[in-house]
Amino acid sequence: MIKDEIRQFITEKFLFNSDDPPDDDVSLLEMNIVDSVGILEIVSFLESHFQIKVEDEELTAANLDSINKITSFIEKKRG
Amino acid sequence: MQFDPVLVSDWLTLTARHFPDKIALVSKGQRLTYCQVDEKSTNLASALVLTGFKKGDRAVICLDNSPEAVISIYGILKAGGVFTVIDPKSPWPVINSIIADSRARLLITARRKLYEGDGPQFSTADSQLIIVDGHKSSPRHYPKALIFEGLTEKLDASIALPCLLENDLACLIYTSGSSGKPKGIICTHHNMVTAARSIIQYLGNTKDDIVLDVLPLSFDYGLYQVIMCFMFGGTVVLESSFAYVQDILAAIDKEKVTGFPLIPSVSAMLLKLKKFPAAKLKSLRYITNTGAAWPVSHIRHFRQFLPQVKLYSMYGLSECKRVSYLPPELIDEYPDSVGIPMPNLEVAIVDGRGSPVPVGKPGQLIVRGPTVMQGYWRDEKLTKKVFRPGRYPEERWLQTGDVFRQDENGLLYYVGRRDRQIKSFGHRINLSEIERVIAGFDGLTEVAAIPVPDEIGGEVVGVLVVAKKEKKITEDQIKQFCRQYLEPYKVPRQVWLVESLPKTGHGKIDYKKLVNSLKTLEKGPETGQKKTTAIRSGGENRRRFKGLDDH
Repeated sequence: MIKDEIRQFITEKFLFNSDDPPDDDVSLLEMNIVDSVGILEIVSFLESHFQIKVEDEELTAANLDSINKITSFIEKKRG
Repeated sequence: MQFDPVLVSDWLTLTARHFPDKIALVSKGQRLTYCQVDEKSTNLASALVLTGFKKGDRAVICLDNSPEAVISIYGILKAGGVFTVIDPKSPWPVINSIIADSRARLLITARRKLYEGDGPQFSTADSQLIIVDGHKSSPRHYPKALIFEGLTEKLDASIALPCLLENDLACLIYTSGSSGKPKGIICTHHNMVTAARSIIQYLGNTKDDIVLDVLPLSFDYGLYQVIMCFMFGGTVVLESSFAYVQDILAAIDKEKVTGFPLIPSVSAMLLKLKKFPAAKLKSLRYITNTGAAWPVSHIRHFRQFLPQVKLYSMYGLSECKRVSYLPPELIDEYPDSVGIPMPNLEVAIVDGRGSPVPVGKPGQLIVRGPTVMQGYWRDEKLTKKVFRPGRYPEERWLQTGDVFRQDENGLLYYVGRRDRQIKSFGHRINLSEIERVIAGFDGLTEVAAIPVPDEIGGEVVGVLVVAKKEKKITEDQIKQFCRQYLEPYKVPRQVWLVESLPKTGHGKIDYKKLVNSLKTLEKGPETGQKKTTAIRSGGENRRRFKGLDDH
């Protein structure tokens, strides 16, 4: 499932496999899970893992700032 | 005859008198006029005085960039207090060490932060907690806490605020030290007002400037955008991060931003976009860079894409706020220079004995002027060490610890550091501090922190550790440990578990050898990967670094 794959990536990459993964709807930035470089790392993961292209214009909080938002973004991109 | 105000907070009041209805601050969906910011901060100051807050008391503001953070800064100043802003991304042990070191009587933070980790620890019995969040009641664990929103409302009675001088303390700026004790840089109102005035002068700011501030207020570069704007009567558009690039570009476009202070990692992110967003930046008049050297390639790209925008490449350190700026008309010819001393500041480049070095030769940069700090908070030893006596009793030169050279035109060039500091995402990080924290992780025998080149951050922290034989330790465990005790930008991006560390003849860790081994690793012909990928891919590096001690 898309959501599980995203949650797993974020937990592995930014929480160093902590056994306490973030809630799906919290702000990744406000909860201090990712920083600006982290967002770029998420984007490159999304591009390679889900074979989509993230456009410059899509680098917004509305698309990327929680596991839920990223999931709907991917679903939308894949049509 | 009217003279200029001498207090940071009086400048806000004066500007509010000149332009009461002008927008001072755009932040978190709010637009506050000068009159509103001035009134709310006066109300907060009065409320603080009623709680027993006294002139000279320290106050810690642990909030992200927000209207509440700005109102807190000015409220504390008006109440005669000395503020410190801490990034709420810092874990509680870091915040608590600053509360303890500054002996803060007041902490202002967000409700959400209180549910994280261990929470605040106060050092004095009469400490006060103020919670920002819009709710009406304080959380169960903090029954005596006050709610911020109520304190900025108008009081019925008028409260006398303390009388302040320009040499009263205004803030403590905490920075990374090597000993493990936080280093609080003491700034008076005079330090801050004179620094702001010099910078405003060379940037040519006017009340028509609209400045985008994406840098945290805990960072003096971010903080001074507000202090300066409130002096020249401009508007600050305060954002809490640059992470969502398009949201920031939309804000620049919408608010018609004219001034954009950035650090190299922000310019790197703009240049990483598939198409440079020149159209969204068309309102800009100037861009400034400091925090770390602006790569010449970034400067060239900005000149090409935004030829109408003035680019200011600058250099400074929190101990004296700012040292130099390159006049923008010189940037094409001298893109690697950080220019000339700012107004009201003198520099010299000296050798180990304190004598000036010949033109073009490297030496330590020392500076003097009214923006230089008073010293380090409660640390006479370190204060004594950083200053060099001048020609008369009150004159002191600040030794920056940075190596510079000056060319025949008087332009300054950064050469390097004398100690183990690196610059990452605009922050100075002392590598000894990282080692000291990691040494607290059970099961290690040795640890060495080194700088690792990074495309966005400039440099990031890399750590090599040697584990005790019987211990099974993972890289992730060490990163998780660091996350609990260090600010996010200090957490090592890369951890290598190695068998042993190379030593010098004196038995100390040979850092030069370590850093050189890293360079070999990056350029290794067999990797065929880009720098950052090679550095970030854990397992592979681990294997290669095992061979270190064979060198």
